[in-house]
Amino acid sequence: MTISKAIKEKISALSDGELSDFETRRVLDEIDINPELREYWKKLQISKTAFKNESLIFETADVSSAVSRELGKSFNSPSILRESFLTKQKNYIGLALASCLLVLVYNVQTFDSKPNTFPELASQKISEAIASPQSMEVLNNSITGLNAELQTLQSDPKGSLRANYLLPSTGKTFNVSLSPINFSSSLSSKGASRIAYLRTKDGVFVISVSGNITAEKKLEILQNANFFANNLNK
Amino acid sequence: MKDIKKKISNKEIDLSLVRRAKKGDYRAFDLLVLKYQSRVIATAFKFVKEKQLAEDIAQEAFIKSYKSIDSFREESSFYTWVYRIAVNTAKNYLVSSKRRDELVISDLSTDDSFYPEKLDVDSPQEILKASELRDLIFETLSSLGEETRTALSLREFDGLSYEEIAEIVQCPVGTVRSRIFRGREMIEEVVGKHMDKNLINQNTKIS
Repeated sequence: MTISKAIKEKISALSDGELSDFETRRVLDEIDINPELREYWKKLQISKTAFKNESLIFETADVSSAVSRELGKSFNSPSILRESFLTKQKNYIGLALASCLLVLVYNVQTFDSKPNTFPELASQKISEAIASPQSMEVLNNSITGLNAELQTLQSDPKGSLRANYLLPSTGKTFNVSLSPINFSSSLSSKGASRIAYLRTKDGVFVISVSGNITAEKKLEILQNANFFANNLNK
Repeated sequence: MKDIKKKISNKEIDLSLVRRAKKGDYRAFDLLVLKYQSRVIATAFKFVKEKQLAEDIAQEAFIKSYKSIDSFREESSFYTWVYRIAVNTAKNYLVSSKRRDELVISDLSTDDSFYPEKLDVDSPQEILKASELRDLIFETLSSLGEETRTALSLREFDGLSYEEIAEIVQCPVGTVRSRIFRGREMIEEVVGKHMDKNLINQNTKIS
């Protein structure tokens, strides 16, 4: 029996409550370094759910990554890696859009030392990049009424742009992201808490909201974003 | 008569993970999230009738439960505890968003066997996929060798402990553990292929 199989057998026993505390700790150590074992646990739960005659409708949903992120923990999920790999191959047009965003973000970051004018400048640069003059306006307006302060603006290599906000009244943080749809397919189901779509003449972008705020606030942000996006589309 | 370890309750199964989580081991808590997330989402869905929102509520419920896990006194099962948190989170959401009229008043039992398929799920494709997956799992179970199938069935359907199964089929506990694992491996392969197929379909649709 390979090491992996031996550990999997222990995970199987753990799922039945048949493992000692010592063995449980060892299994957790193994899962920590081998994300496939975490995936194995997940699949085990699916079959267990089926055997209990419970619904499998929500089995593909996964909030675990979002929960760990919100709590400041992180895991290497092979499913996320696999999706990234598949997504990378998908759409060259998306890649071009992402490149535009990357260029824009590079430019935008030079304005980081001027937080007061930053949103307007970012808006301008994003508008240039995705050829939708009011697109940043949608993001800015999405936080209307929340009294949120923009903290930082970040990008990732896939071209997503993320604005991080702080609610001074509560100290809570959240972020609003703009991503080309091709690179946010995994985001829609795993990463972001809430998403909305912004259609521009150059394609569809995803606006997502996640962070340490309530579901109601996230919904409010997206409703704001949708409202302005819809107005733009008229 | 030999004292055989009886049926293991869900509460007992989770206990080692819960206690580790209480000591700050997030990995243990993560396994509990993976175990119960679909059920918690299904519970939230009963209230809000929207999948994405249900996921948000489930997410919040797990975050709240981790932050307050020290207050979990192990009198109920971990799932029951998280279930209550999820229900309260969903109710609070509905109240705060002035959607009281959509509140499902009916008793949402903590009974393990409930069927969200019976609710107004507006995605026939998802129901179909779930149904296909269930059929595949049961077909695979049926195709297992008798010893493997018996051990796995006694565990999954009758909830018997390994020790009790060993007594019934008259073999060592270690053999029971191996047989159950072997059966699950076969099923895991089927589940994995099904999930990969759906993932490819999803990506194809997106592009």
